Amino acid sequence: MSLLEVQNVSIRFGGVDAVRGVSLAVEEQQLLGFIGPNGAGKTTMMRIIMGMVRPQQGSVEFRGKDITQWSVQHRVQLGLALAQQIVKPLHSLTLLDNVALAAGARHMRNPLQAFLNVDRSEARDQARNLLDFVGIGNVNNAFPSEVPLGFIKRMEVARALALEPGLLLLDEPLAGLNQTEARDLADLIASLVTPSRSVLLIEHNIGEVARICSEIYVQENGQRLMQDKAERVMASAALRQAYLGEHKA
Amino acid sequence: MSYEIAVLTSMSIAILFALSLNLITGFCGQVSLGHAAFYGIGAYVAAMLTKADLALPIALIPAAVMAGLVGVLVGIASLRVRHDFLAITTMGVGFLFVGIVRKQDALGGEIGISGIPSVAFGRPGLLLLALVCMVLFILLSIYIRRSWLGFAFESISDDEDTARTFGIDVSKFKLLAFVVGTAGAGIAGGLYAHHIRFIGPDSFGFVESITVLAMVIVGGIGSIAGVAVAAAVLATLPLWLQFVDDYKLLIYGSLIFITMRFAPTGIAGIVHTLWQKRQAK
Repeated sequence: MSLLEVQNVSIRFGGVDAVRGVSLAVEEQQLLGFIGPNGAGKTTMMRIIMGMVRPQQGSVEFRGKDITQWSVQHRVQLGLALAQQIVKPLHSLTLLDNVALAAGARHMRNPLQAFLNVDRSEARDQARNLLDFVGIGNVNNAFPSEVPLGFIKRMEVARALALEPGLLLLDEPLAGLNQTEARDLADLIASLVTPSRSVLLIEHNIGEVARICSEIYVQENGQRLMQDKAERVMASAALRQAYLGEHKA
Repeated sequence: MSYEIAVLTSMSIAILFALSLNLITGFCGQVSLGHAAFYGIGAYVAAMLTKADLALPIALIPAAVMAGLVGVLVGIASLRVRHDFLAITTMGVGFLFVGIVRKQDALGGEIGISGIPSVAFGRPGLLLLALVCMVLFILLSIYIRRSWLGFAFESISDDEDTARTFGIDVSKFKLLAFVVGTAGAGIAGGLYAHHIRFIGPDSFGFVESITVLAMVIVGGIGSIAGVAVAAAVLATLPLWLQFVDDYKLLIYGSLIFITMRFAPTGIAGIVHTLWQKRQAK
């Protein structure tokens, strides 16, 4: 049984089929790359998996449970976490408190529990360790508006890790970064896979995906194109055609 | 002496009322333009109960419960709307309250309720009760701010979609903010009714909702100390300067505009900035 199994999901926005009959599986302890040209429906798939949108057809199973109709918060509590494509730091909080908030998520399962808990020191300690781990421990007390995009991207990864997820969804974490920053962050992402954690990496930077992922899933026009070992995917004519529109000879 | 007692009572009630809105709008980020409706519910419930010979400290409990219950209903109805849509929805609730009360003979209709009994120990007794309620609400606000509940409110206020990705059940937290905030307004309303000893539908109209919103905005949205200071000052201005009372909507509306345009963090933000500059020297 796979950790995540998306089966035959479809979703239509107005007159557009954003995702059509797509199936996808992520195994335990796997770093799966997820690529596709603009408009392929990658972010929509991520939003379906997280529960931000509900598919009109198909199912999503995580840890053996059918979570298709579950709310975002219940999916997070079951072990899914997301770092979004457009970074969404909480601007009123420092980077440390942004991560501490996620680290203390268990205190906020319901309002009464949240009301009765005051101590934030443990969550802040955990947040400090995570910010050190992602390499921005030196700007703990800065506000999001005071640091570059690359730092906020790392903070988002730390914040998602603080939720102690079984599957971490990363939506274009390398977008907007320069080559060095992208390479460093990709190395960090590769190190996130553990026996208790898998990573699904949506990314436009195909070079970095091919470098760190052993397996890649490709989607085009809302449909599954292929899923295979990274080297086979990179060598396939179908991938080149999807990205460059090359015609077969 | 009785004048000073009356001023202090007005201040305490205004601080309690403003902090109750601060919990909804300042802590949790849910704009409300109809908060006076809950103030009114508390006033009518407490007035009718004390007229039926119940002591005010006891009558304040059902006043808070009734305002909180209506707050839950409004909260549930408002869960799917945000920002300006929420503001318009809550403004509608304020008008709805006044419209309903006007047509209820049991609530005195257009004429309102007069002859509301005085509290045991008279004006000093009411002041003491108002001070106790105000202090308790300040302590509750401070505690909530320090707890994980305050942390959750802050994240919802900042970006509720992001808050959801932390596993926070945003709807439940927003509802709780509505319940506590509207119950607090209910208590303030009960005290107000026994301070003025006459209430009518127009005592709880749009002008009152704007007045309390001005207290929160001028004080600094979310700041307990700032909102308390602004409420104390704005509540007593009409007592000192007659023209403030005559041009209340104009003056408070202008204050909201000026604060949002030039100092959106209000008094609290200005003090904080000045303090930081002084520390930096």
